[in-house]
Amino acid sequence: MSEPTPPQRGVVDDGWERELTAGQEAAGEHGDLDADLAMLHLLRHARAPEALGEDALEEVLGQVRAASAPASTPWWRHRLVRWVAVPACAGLAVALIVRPGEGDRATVAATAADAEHAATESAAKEPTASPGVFAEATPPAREGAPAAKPYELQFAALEGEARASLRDAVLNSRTEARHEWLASLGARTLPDEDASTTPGRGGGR
Amino acid sequence: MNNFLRWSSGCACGLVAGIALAWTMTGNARDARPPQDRDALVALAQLVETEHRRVDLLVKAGDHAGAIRALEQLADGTWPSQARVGEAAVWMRHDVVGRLIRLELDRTEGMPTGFDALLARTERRLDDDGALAPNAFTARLAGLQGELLERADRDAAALESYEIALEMNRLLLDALIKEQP
Repeated sequence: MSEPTPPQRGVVDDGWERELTAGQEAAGEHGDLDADLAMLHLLRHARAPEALGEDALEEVLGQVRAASAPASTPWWRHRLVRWVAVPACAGLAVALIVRPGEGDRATVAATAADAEHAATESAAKEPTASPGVFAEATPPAREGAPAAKPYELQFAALEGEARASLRDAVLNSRTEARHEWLASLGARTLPDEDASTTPGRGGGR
Repeated sequence: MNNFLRWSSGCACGLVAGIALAWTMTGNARDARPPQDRDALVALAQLVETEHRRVDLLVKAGDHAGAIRALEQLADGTWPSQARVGEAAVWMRHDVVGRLIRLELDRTEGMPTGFDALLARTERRLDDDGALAPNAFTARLAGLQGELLERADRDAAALESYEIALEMNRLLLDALIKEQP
């Protein structure tokens, strides 16, 4: 007598999973059923696809949207950034570099105060001499210091620098004029020297 | 490569713009424009130097009238043109006129003698010498013009002159600050 044949089961029958799990437990939890179970799930899904929940569907759609969106221009490649922000930043950087610090302001304030003090002291003594065009860049006090107006105090602070600029301009001109004069002298004397050193009719030897 | 060129050109434009801005803001041209005729500038500087020394001696001797006369002669003499000797000559002339006005103002508390002539002299120098780079001598002359106008109770005009002087000095002080280490 032959054994009764078990009823034919489809690949999506839950019995496969139960038997596989039971077999593994009987074997002392040996072996790995993940691959088999995954195949079962796949076959079951292929037979009767499961509907996705709302959240899962939204997540999947979001991923698809992100992956299929056209490549956008990054912010740092926008024309506005390149032609406006970058020049502005560069200009700002340069302006900040040349901008005087608090220490510098304090120095000039001290210079102005010193100049004012010197002007007052000198004026108290006697009318002072003019520093002249070629004078050293020391802020001197001149006529009008006692009741000095703000512009006179500023002039006292700036006068040394201004006279130094004048002196430099004049000295540069004098140096260049001297060089030109020497060069012209050289140009005038060279032909004479050539004439005297070149063997002439009377003949150098 | 194309991107690199675009970025580098953008940065270069920014740098140039920044430098131009800073150059403009810092009172770029405190130095006088170079002269065409160097000999004339040197000779003029020597003459002005000598006259200043003479005025020093006159002031020291208490001869303020003589000092003023010497400065008037120097200021009204023939000066080479700015085109020929550069801005330095204009600075020197403003210095001479400024000293002259200062001496006149210091002689009296009220209206100085020959007030109109002094004011006209100051205005002529400030107007005729054209646009100059900011400099201490022209700023002082503008301030002296303001002081003259103030003594004549022309306060609005005086204020304008003072503002010109203070603005010019502010530019110069800013430039001086930036130069200091």
